[in-house]
Amino acid sequence: MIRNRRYTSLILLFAMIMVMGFATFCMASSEGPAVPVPAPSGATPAFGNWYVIGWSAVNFLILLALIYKFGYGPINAMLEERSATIEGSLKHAEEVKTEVEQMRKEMQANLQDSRRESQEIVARATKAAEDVKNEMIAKAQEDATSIKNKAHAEIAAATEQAKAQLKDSAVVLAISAAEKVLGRAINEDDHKRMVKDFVNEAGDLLC
Amino acid sequence: MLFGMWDGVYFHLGPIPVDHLVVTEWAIIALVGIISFMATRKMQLVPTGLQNGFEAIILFTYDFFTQLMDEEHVAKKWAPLLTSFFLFILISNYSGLIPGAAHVQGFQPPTSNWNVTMTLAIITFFSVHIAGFSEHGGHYLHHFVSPSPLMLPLNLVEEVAHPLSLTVRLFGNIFGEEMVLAFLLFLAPFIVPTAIMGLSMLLGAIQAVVFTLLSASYIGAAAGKGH
Amino acid sequence: MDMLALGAGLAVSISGIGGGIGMGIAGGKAFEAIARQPEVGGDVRTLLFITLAFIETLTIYGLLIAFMLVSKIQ
Repeated sequence: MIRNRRYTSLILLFAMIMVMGFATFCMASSEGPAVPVPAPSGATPAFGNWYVIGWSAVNFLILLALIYKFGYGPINAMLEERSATIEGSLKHAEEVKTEVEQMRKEMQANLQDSRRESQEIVARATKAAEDVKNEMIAKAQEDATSIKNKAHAEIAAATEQAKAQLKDSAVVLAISAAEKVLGRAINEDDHKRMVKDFVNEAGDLLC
Repeated sequence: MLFGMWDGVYFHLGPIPVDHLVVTEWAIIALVGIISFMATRKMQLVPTGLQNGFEAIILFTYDFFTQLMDEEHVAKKWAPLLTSFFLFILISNYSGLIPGAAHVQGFQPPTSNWNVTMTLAIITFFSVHIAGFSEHGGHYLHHFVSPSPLMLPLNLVEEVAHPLSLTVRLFGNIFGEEMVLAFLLFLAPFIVPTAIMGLSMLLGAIQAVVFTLLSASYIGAAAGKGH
Repeated sequence: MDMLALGAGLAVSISGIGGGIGMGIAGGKAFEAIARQPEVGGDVRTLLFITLAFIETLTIYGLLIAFMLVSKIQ
């Protein structure tokens, strides 16, 4: 609506300027200002002016040739070229797409390979670590066992020693007690043997 | 130097007289040729500026005539001719709106003359039959006896009446408009003709469109599937 | 001469009346059709223009006859 109004006002302005120009032209060119423009006769132009017909046909054909030469020909060629270019680029894009697809597949395969490899490596490393660990555990256990055994043995030895000392001192005590009771010294060796036997028995029982 | 409708000869080209209408036609040819030459001088794949508008116009004519003729290859074949009709008639109609064109010698629009419009109509007449024969070959002749052979005279009269009505319509409109403008300029030269000039711009465009449309529909009817 | 002027006036006025009535009917029907179905507006408009051109031709014939008669008056 606004556009229409703008066009209408433009046309009106244009026409007004033309009319003003013409009026000025008429006033300037005519002798008297009373009748600036002569009355038109209203006669229709003569028909059958064969020169005009021929010229018009020739001129129109020239115009047609010009429009075809400079308008439709180049534009048609351009449109064809453009569609060819678009087709070519579409084809190229298709090719690139398949190529990319192939590359992607390859890469995926590579990736899978490398993943498997890395998994293998990790598995191998894990296994090695496990082995080392087991070894170390075994060694530590061995060590611990040996240490324990040694300690046991030492403890046993110490116990034996302590037992022997206890027995000895018990024998001595028993002998001295018996001496005191008997008031005489008996054959120490006999007694010692007797008491030792007894203590051994008792000790075996006690221990 | 002020005349009524003036039939004048500017000069003789050998034995052939060159009318003022012919000179105006040359001016129209120069205008259209220069514009189209400028528009398509440096063709680019990605259009810019004038080429863009020109391309849009040409694609529009293809679309328009395809819609009118129902067959795309016929429309593409005849679009240059129809566009030439349109531009020629439009510019020559508007050349009558130059101040005083109806009075000053050499400024009458070519379409306000019988001879010029009849030439255009004869070109349409020949194009119609060329289109018919090139589309259907000899089978096109069945078109003249289409419902029954009894209709042959009527069909022939119709074929003659088409260019005649084209001639008279265009000539009558533009001549009448020029006459109205001339009378108004004679009666009140200053402000009054403005309204008629604005109306004449519209009418000139409509007459150009109507001539093109009718030519297109005649060609489409001759080249269409119906025959 | 008077009869020529009368004839010119009658030619243009009667053909104008006929053309005007025809154009009015055609335009009215076309606008009705467009209002009922706006989506076929383009086709209807094109056909309307062609029809108006046909009708107008008759009016223009009358106008031409009028011009010819007027040119014979002088």
